[in-house]
Amino acid sequence: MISIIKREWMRLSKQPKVMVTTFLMPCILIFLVMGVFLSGVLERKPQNIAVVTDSAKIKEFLKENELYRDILVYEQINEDLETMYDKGNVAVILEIETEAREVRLKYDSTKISSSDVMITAQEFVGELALFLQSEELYEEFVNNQLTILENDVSSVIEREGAQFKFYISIFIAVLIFMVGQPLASFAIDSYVGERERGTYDSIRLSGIEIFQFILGKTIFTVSVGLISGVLQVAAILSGIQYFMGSLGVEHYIDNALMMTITIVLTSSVSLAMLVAVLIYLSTYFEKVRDAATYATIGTLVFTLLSQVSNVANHTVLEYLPLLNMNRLILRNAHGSPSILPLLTSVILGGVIIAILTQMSVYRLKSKEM
Amino acid sequence: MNIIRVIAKQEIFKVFKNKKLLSSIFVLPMVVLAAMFAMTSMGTEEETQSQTYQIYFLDMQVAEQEFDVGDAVLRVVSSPALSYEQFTAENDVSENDMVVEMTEEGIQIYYNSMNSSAEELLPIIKSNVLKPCIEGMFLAEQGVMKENFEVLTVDTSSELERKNRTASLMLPYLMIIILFMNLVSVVGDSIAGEKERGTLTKQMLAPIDNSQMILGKLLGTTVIGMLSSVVFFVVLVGGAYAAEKKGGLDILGIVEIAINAGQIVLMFLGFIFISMVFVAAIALMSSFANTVKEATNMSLVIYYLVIIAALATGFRVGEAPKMAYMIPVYNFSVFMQKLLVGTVDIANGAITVISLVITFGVLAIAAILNFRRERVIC
Amino acid sequence: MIKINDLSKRFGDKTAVKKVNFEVKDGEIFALLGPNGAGKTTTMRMLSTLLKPTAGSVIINNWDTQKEAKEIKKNIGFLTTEIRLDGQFTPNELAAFYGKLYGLDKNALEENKSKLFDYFDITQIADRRYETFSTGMKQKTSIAICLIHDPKTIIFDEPTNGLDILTQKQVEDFLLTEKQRGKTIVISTHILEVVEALADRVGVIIDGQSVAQGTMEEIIKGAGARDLREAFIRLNEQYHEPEEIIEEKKAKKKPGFLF
Repeated sequence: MISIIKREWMRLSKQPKVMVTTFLMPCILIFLVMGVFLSGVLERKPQNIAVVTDSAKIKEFLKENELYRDILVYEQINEDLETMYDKGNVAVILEIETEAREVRLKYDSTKISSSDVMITAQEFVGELALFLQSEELYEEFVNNQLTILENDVSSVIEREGAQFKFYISIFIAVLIFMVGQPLASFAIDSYVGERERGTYDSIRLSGIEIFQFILGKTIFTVSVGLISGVLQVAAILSGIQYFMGSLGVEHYIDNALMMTITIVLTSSVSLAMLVAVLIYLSTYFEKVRDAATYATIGTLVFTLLSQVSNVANHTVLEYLPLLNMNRLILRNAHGSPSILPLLTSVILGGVIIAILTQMSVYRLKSKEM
Repeated sequence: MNIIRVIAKQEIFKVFKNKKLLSSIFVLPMVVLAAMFAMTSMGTEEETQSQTYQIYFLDMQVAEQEFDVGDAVLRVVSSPALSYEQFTAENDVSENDMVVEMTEEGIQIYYNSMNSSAEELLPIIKSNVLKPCIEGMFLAEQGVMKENFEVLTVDTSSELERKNRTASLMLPYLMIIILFMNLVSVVGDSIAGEKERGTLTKQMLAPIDNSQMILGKLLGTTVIGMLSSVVFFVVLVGGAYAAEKKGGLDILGIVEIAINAGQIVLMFLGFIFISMVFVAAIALMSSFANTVKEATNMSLVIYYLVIIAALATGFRVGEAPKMAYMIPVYNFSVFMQKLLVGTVDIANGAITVISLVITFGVLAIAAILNFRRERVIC
Repeated sequence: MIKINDLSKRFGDKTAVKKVNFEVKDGEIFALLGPNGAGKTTTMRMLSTLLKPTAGSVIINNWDTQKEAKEIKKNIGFLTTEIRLDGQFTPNELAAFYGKLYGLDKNALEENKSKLFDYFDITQIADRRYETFSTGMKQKTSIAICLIHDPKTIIFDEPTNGLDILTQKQVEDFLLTEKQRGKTIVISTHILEVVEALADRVGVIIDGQSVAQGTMEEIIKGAGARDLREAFIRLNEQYHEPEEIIEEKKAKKKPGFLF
């Protein structure tokens, strides 16, 4: 079995293109993607409010009121305004009929990026009504109105915990998906590739048992996945550090060692399960091209499953490998760690891998008969 | 041209001869896409279940009422004269609830940011509840009745746009990802796989140019890609029709209200051309590879870029700039997004198609030029 | 007719083939003989246009392989162990495909195919997938497919590799028949029995260099041997002798070199 693993690593070391695309490219891409998303390139542009009126008083109100200075004023709806509305630059159009004391508030709910602009528009209408009713009354109200003070009763720990949960979800999705994709081609190549090249028979003739062959391939593929995973995690953390300065979860993580152990164990088990599934899947095929799409879809399904504990809240999920990643990492990063679910899921994962390996062996044996 | 056709036919024949490959290209993606569609419909349904948030006003004269804010129900509850600490000690205040207290410094609103909607609801509560309350108290002191404006609110978005917003953010990139995955195995095997097996060399011995060879393979695999696209198209329309039964997309609405025949044709062409771009890109990567594994791994680079381009559509709000329609893959994703909400613009659709055709041309030429190098066949 | 002038091929700093010269007339079988790694396959690949020579030229029927590759390809049939056929297709499908690539019309294709398939006993299994065949049947099918266009020149690299005696005989008889038809045939092999059975003339290549050329009798006599096997071994030994000894033998016109 060791010789299989060594052979695979030697073969990989002679394939620079594969090494680059498996280890290096994903890291570079992750780093760049983080830069794009975190440094605000895709920040939403602020959306404007436009007021359509010919009232001089309203125009005066807008000019003198600092809060509403950015509101655009039009005498009528023209092409320029319509274009900006269609593009989403203007989110709300207020057509004010001062005589009739009517306002037509036009908006497109699918284009509004946040509720702030609607709130501002509604507040503006409310204050304008008071202003037009009585300027003195409005001034007195503005000068004497009570301040609203916000108090977040959640603790720093809770807030950082929510932030941490978000990071972990991204981390797990990236890990399973971006590590899993190249692993799929390694896993398929394990058996099917060897068969296609005609090297499987010579390996079998050397006296290696099928079980050793499958296990050796599984261990090799998982090791590739772990190395790739470590590099990608490093890329993620570097990206966050470079583009954002800090993670903003330092207070939440009070058990870094346990968190690291949980991440390593759950990731390893999940990746190993993925590899075992894909190798088993590959035993149904004779050609790499036939198996490739199935393998990629398998990885996609695994990625989706890894996010289950993000949406579902059953305690039993903590004990299930792959499904428990989110919850366990979150739990074990802070406070007293959940050792039992972690150990149970590792053992269960091992059992699943063993069963899948045995199933693969059985399939290959039956092919030889 | 005849030679190119012969080689293209052979490529297509190769796929159709292979039941497993056939199922992985045509059947499996249909199943996955249909499952994604079903999940999206379910997600849309779940979102309509509303959450109730209680806002306790401590020792303040407020009328108890309930009102809707989007999917949330806000219930204003008037509470006895207690301080915040006393009230929370005596009552079970959940994470979703808020407490408002009048103090000397001003009006204190206590909320928990762990409540997933707190960030969204807080400004609404301040604006729709607190500020009118403050204003009301002021005017009551002055003995004045406010002459409010009558506000007529008009949402100019169509029902289709509102219903399909979630689907339009997710489905385009899912379709692109699955379509691309499909093509990697076919195209990669057609070039790198044949190199690995030695069957490519045999073809090179025939009196044909390398460029005829690669063009034939491109043509053949592009046809496969197009057929795969047709399957996607059918699943999309069929899935939409089926989802309509569950209150999802209204396919009749699409035909009648927002999309005409020209736009449907453009969507179909978009599918065809995006598969051409993918085929050419994978062919280019495969021409650098000597084995299928290398070709698959090298194509992953494009795969990741495709995912990023497709995901970026989810972050876009409002009309995309004209430039966006020139960026391959991203433009297709945007185009599909617009289609699903029924606001496809023929001009932008045409720019999308032209951009994809040009990209295909550039990539195909690059693949041909690379394929002509001697070391490709040694 | 094949003319090779100072044909050389370098891969990086390794010279695989160095200034090889030979000619093959129409209606002749020329056997390129040499140990493993001698440069036989490289030479054959340069003849077939699959490899570009670093220096020298290959002229086949007055066409230069570097300038008129397409014409060359139309008129040669090349077979080597590294070239494979797609296993999922049947011989009929392969013949149809390659026939079209060579521009054969339906009648010509049918005629050539039935002739070759009948000769190599492929007709009965022509609708079975290639990957299901035995080694011998695969080789025969490969020969049939590579000659589907009835080329004037046949270039076979190790044509009888891995074949049983009966199949070997079948292939040899076929090549002799083609020779009678006036085809120019070059084979490369390290199996002396094949050379003895087929070759009109032999070229011995060692370490990329042509060390002897001529009929079998000329080779044997030139090497001072009793048979081809001994001649080949002696030539190999002589090739690896120190420079001074070689010069001395040349000066004394000792048997062993014919040029």
